[in-house]
Amino acid sequence: MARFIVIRLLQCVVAFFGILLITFFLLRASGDPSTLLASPNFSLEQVQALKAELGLDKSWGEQLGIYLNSIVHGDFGESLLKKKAVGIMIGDALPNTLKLMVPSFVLAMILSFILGVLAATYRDSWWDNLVKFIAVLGQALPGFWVAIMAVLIFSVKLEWLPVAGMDTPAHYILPMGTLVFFTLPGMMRLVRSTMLDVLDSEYIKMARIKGLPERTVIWKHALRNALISPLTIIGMLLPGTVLGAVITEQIFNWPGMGRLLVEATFARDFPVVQAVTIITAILVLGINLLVDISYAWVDPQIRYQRT
Amino acid sequence: MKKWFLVPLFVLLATVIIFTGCQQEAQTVTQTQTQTQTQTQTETTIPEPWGTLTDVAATFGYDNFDPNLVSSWSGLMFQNLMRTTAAGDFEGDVLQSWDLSADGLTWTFHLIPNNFFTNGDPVDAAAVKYSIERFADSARSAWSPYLREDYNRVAVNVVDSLTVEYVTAHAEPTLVASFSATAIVNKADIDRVGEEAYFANPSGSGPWKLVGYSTGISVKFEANTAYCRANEVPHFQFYQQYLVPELATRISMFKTGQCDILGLDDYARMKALQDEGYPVEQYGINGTDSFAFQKSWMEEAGPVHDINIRKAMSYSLNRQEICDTWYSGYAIPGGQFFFPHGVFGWTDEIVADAYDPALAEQLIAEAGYPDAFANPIITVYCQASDQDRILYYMSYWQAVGLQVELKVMETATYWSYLGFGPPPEDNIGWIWFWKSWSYACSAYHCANMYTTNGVHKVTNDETANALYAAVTTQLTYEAAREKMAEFQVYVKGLYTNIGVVEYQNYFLYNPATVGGFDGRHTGYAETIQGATHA
Repeated sequence: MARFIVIRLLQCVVAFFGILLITFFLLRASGDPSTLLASPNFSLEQVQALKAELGLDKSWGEQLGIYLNSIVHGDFGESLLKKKAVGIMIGDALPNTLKLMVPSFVLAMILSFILGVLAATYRDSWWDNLVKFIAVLGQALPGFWVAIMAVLIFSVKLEWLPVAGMDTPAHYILPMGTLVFFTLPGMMRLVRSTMLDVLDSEYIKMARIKGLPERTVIWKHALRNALISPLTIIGMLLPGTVLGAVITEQIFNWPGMGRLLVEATFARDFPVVQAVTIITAILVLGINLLVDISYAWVDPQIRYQRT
Repeated sequence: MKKWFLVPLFVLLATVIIFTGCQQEAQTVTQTQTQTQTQTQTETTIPEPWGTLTDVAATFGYDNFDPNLVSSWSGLMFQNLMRTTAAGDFEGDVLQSWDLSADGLTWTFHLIPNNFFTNGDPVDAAAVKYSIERFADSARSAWSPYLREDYNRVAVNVVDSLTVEYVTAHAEPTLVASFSATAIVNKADIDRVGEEAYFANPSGSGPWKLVGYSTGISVKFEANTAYCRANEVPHFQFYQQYLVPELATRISMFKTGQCDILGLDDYARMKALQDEGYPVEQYGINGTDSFAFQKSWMEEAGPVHDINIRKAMSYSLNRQEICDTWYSGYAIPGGQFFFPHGVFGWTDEIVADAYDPALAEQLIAEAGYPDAFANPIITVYCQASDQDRILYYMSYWQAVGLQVELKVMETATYWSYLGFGPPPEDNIGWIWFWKSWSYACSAYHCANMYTTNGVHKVTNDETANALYAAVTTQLTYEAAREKMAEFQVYVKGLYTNIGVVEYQNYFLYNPATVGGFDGRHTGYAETIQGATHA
């Protein structure tokens, strides 16, 4: 198991540096941020001074060296746009995103497992059809449209919930609901289909013949064996949730990492985009690592395979 | 089973249709007529400000509190040396009055006594001198490139604590435009804490003082009850502006009462909201849409080198239709670059070209287009957000037989063509679309468009140069105004820049919280300042 974890860790490190380099070069290929950061009426001298101040007059190689050095020292630099330490900006934004993302993700997982298992158990019932219908809707409807429609229906028309902000618990309902709606359908369908396969297997039939209670058969024996595929997918769903957070935070004006990323991208605020990408990459890689470990825990065969 | 599966789908679709249909119902608010109110200077008992006025912005613009760097909020916090009136003239802002010597060389500024910054420091001659010199310093002011001859400044002298003398090299009455853009900052505070710390939390002497700022989220101001014009102290105690980039969210916040003020650049949506019963308020001077023909005096400019082609492009535009459709009625035909109705030098001699496609086709034929040109394609450039509008305008040109293509360019990149950076390639014969605001006196901006030394590189005409020189060297502002009218009439005839429409500036407000606006309407900040309670 230790060898398995070490190999996975090394792969994460390689992937992390790959992401770091790609982000660095893609951002610089997008154009010169000083043209966007300068006040519209800056003189040529002021633009040149700004470039020098931001270190943008140096070669890409030099900039990469400075960048890597600062990363090693845990320093994300200063926002080109806001003239504020990126670490502080992320410190402000990350908790807001986590406040939204973590409960949404957990809720989506719990709901998808419950609904998926029930749909598989009561196959072809009205309940199963309802779950399939929700899954189709969730996968077919674009996220931004769902978010805007949620605002239109629940805020503007019904006036039940606030449109934007994060002051009260009521402010969490629409953005969380939208994020759950992004994540739920895929996982729910997967749980349902894997459960159907497992429920059709010989050992489940044997368990039933042995007279085990149906609840034990379903929730203990069948679900544990149906967990492998969904667990793998959790790692892949997380980047999708981050993307969902970008859209959700934009629509619901949630001051989190997603909004910070959008604003920084449009302004070519390199340090902020780089830092947000790094944090997101660490989160995704970390979750993937945990998923891999839990995957190996659920299916002991995996830890013995050479990776 | 499959049939039953469709039932919820139909239910969902029906719900969506019902909700969409309901959008036209429930007009619960009363529509009020748009009105521009003139300032009343009556001495009345000023009630204590109360309540919070909330506003939403798509962008915080240049996110800075330094007025020299075109801050979005400087008009709220700082007074300027002078300010414009609703009639488009100039009056003192921190000045009680000013004198101009008979030779036009010496301006003597008399400051309002007992005027204080929000931290208690006096607005004195030292602060004014410092602010003028800082504003004129190209290293610290984004405005300086607009101004000529180093602000035409020989000396700025402090005569006494309330008097400043400004000496110029030659008479230039249009300097009032620059004076009205010169924000007065607190020199004493800057001396104490340094510029960086000062502009992080500045103390101005304007109608509002900064009380909260959360980067990229919101900014909050409190009414300055010690403002030197007691009858212009805001009625609302707080003015809070939230940054909400998403249009749908801004509109939803407005409709649910989460914000009181909504400015929209989307005229169709603004009209829809007005039709629902939300009142709109007009403010400021009209902006203008225009097309600038880059270096059209050069033969390499292609078809646009021929004035007949440029005139044809003007006569083929149906300006009234553009006002009625694209601008949903919030615009009027005409105007020129930084030159709408009512501004300095405006004359009724300037009339928008009529929509006359037959004349346009005749002019095109006279130019021998397209056969007379090796490359008959005319290229229009604009920023991405203007694409749809330009494609619409282009349809008029295509309808009279002109071959036009559109290229999109970042505005920031385009600035490099205006002398603010090394241009990537030559821009001979390009057409650039300008959607520009305007000022009560835009002499300097117009010079940039119509004179040889102007940064736009659009016009190279000795007569235009001479007429502009006459504008800025008169002894009096009134004489300069007449020269400006002559200049504008002349440059219109050059067709190096063609005006399309004058768009009007409006915002919507929530009548449940805002009763109206009783202050000056010279700009957004000034109008918001006069918001009254419902």
